[in-house]
Amino acid sequence: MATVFFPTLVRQQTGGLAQIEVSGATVGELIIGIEARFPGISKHLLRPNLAISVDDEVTPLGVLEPVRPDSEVHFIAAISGG
Amino acid sequence: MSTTYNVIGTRPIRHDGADKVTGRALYGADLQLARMIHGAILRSPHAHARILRIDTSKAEALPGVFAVVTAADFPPAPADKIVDFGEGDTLLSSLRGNILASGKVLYSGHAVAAVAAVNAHVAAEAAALIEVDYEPLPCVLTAPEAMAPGAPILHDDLPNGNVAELIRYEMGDLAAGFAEATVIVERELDTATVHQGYIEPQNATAFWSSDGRIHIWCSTQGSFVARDASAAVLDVPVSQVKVTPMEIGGGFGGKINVYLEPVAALLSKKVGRPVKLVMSRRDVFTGTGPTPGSRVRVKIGVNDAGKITAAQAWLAYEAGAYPGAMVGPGAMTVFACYEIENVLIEGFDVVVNKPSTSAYRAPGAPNSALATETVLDEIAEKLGLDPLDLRLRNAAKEGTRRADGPRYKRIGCIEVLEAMKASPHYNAPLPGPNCGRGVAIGFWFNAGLPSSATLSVNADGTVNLIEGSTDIGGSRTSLSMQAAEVLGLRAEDIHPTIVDTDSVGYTGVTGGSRTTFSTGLAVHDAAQMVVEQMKARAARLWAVDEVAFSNGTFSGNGQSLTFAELAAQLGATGGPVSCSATVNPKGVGGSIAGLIIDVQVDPETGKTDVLRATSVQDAGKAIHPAYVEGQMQGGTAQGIGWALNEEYFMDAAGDMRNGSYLDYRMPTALDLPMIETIIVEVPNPGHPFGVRGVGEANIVPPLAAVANALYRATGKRLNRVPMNPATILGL
Repeated sequence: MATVFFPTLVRQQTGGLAQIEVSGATVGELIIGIEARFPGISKHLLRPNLAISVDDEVTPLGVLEPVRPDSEVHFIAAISGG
Repeated sequence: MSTTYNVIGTRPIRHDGADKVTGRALYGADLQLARMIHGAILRSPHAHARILRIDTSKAEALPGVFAVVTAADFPPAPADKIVDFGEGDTLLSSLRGNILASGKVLYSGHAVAAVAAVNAHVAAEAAALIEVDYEPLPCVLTAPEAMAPGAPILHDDLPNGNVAELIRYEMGDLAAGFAEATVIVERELDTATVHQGYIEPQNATAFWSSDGRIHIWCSTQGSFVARDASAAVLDVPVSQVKVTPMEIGGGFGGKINVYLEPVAALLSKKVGRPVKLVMSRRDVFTGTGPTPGSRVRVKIGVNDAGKITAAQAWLAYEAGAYPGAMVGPGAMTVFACYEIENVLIEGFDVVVNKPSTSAYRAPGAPNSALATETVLDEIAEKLGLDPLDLRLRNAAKEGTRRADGPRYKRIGCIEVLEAMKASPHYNAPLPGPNCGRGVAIGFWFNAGLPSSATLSVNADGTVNLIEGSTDIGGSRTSLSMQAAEVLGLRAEDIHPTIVDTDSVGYTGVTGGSRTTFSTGLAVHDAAQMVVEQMKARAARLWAVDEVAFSNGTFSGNGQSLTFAELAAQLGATGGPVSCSATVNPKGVGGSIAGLIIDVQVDPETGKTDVLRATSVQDAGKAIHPAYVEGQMQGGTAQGIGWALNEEYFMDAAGDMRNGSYLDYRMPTALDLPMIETIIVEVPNPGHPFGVRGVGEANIVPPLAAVANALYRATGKRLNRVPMNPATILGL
């Protein structure tokens, strides 16, 4: 199962849980699984200013990005640069 | 990944060099169109005020005036509509509100209305005739003041007063980490608002045709972003807008947002003629986005072995009038150069009555690195360690997890530090009294984002390159070199052209140090397609199944043709060859940069002379080393100006009192020595040539390196940037 890390400020939605293992073939499927356990959490994860990192790379595919059973998923501040 | 190249790593002359040095290159202000008229913007004299009434009648009655627009001319849109620019999202209400104020003005210089007239002088005269009744409100100018209880509130719809967003990254056990430390240092430092300082002011010309099509010519880092933002503001489909990017006289992040484009379009719609708007220097300072002022507090604990056991940061960045300070990247980079197990980072995005901030070279990172790198300098001194050795003991490497979560892939932090330590500069003695040497390092992520390119083979064996990346730092050539490398040609055989948004596939901004990486990937992929098509032509010509290609020569079954020879036969073998590629890549490689700087301080006047500076940066692979060196020198020069001199000097009413280059003191060639460069090459595995972006990381170390050098020269740990004579003398 992939490991999803919750941003610190989202952990109030998870009772303080920092990470969770969840099944799914894409980031979107992982979020569906997380939403089932923590209703309402997806709107805190899928925000305009958050980017999704899968296996240490920000993905341009977002929720459509495929994940492996040993993948790590993080939600980090979206960055472009100057 | 091949490491032997024919073109990459060489220094051909730039393709646009003749146009630039002879004045033929066309910038936005040069544009002349039939029946074109000129515009002017009326800006707020108040930093914070309610708009009670706008009366445009006198302006409209002035002979030579064609039209006046205000925010009321924007089409209606839902207040919570979000505009997706692919690299970040913005509330439409904020985007529009910054272009033309509605309800309230939020900074001195905030645009309120615009006029189109027969010439710029009449337009300016008419703008002055617009009557605006304001109800002045108290203003707040710094993040700490804006966060204080009872501070004037800018926006009623933010849930936490003037704090638009809180960011928090946490890793390990902070208390346990500090308990392990034998040396703990905590410092709080302030930085002032500074501007990117590009030479060319913002400009835009727009023509809203009677068929509904809008054509915009402007100075922008991203024609597609300018198109998308203008379309959103004007509430028209993106296909209705065409943006032609003119040559750009610098941007550094400041020419990603739109300011004038939608206004020129609105005026043109009313008039039916092209309308040109060009900012003055004061308009640029007060009406566009500088980089945030900030307060950063950093606490670091280190054990006897020189290993960082815990690190804590608190960052408050001034967003300016609308949310969006670069505190996110500031928080993500504050400890990014180091492997630290126990970390807590809190960042606050705070609105204040200053111009809405925008990106500036590694946005947010220099502010936070200033605190980390000066605290580490102090710790090294307390431990009796060489400051580079302390950093080497803690340097991030492949597999190091950043506090925001992801782990590094291959990264050159150790290599940059070792290059600094081995450099002639670091091992040279200081020249005399009141001198000091400082070092610092910094990290920037760099960006990916979509890019497109088309290559068309000419019968004479040259290749036309069509692309959409604004050329700020020599990207015509760095892209052409990548095509030439794949095609076995010379850089001079590639003819690059930057075209409008109707003429090339979507291409993101020239920003995030991404163009040579991302657009380079698109060029690389298109060039590979060209090779495959050319091989098919040779196979047809020779009636063979397989054709090899190496160093610009096709061969098969004992026969061979150079690229140019085969290109001459394309017409007879099936027609022209033209290939396009669009990429949206992963594999971005972050870059580490370091700076060694020597200063001398006059103890009587507090004046600082920069004696010597050496910039060191991991480029991955330097496609054109001279352009990489130019980026390193440019970022270093800007960082030194930020460290020593530059600031928005605001009076208590929030008015900028130094809005000209006479008074806003940027370093010139007379202020700086020749900046030495050391390019480190730790190839990025995510790019076929190993490219990392090089445009930004170099501005991260200078603030801290200068502060550390000044400490060694004066014995004072300064806590405020700019470290100008007044700060140094404690006046």
